Amino acid sequence: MDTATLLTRAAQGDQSSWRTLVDRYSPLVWRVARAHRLSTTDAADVSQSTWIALADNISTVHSPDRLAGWLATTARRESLKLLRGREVATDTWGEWADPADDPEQTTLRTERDDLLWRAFGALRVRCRQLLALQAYAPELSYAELAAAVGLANSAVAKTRGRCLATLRRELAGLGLRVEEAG
Amino acid sequence: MSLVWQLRAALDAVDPVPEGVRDAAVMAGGLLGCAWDPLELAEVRAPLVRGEVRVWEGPGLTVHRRGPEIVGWVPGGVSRVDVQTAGGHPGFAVLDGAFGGPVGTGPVRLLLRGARTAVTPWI
Repeated sequence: MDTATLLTRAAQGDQSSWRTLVDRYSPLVWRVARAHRLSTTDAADVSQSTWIALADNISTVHSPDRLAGWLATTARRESLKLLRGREVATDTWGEWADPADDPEQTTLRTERDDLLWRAFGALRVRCRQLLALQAYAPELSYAELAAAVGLANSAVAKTRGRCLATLRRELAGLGLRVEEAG
Repeated sequence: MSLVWQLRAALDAVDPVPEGVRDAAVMAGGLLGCAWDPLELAEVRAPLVRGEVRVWEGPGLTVHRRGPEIVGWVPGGVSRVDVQTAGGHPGFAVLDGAFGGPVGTGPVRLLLRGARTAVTPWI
């Protein structure tokens, strides 16, 4: 079902449509919050605030095809509000690279996953945001990416290229070869 | 597979969205499509007591939050208060115009049940 239909039905109280929207976009919202190096608790607050904002404004989202951009921008704004509002003890990357001692989850992680995670963690916040958005919302235009990350439109392509190059260098430094462009 | 997609797979494996976060997102839309009367609340200066207390007031309504606990005084005619939270909808009976109990520490919204349902903003 397309996003426009889901939004319309959710606004009318169809909880199934709302849950589908949550399933579809909650990884994007989560990733934007975590890209700001928020702890899991603070990222959870940002996520909830973002979804509350959507519920409160669902009838004003006039361009359903831009919902991903709307959510990403709202999540970024909520993250910055949290960071400005108080001293947030952001986790060090090493701490939140191992979010849980959950054996079941750990077995699902490969060594390659861990290396990618470490290389991703070495990037600047803006690079993490930009690459995460591209990974979770590939439909976003450069203009939407620019708004969600806080860049000028003209800087998105160049910044993306630099971020990918840095990620490749980090991966190479960790001994992981990445051959495909990306 | 492109590097960006490999990255997504790695992020999903190492730092997945916690189940509670998804549940909270679902709960945020719990009142969509429902008919209710909006009830304005404004935060006011809290009295000086031990611990951090936040206080909101509205027409006939006062709400205190301290940590995970909530205490409130409601207008006559309200028989029950349901609280929309990230983790569910705990409900509290109104006794002598007051209600209270644990609701967690995140944003909450009160549903005042009487002849009609009035709903506060998220606090």
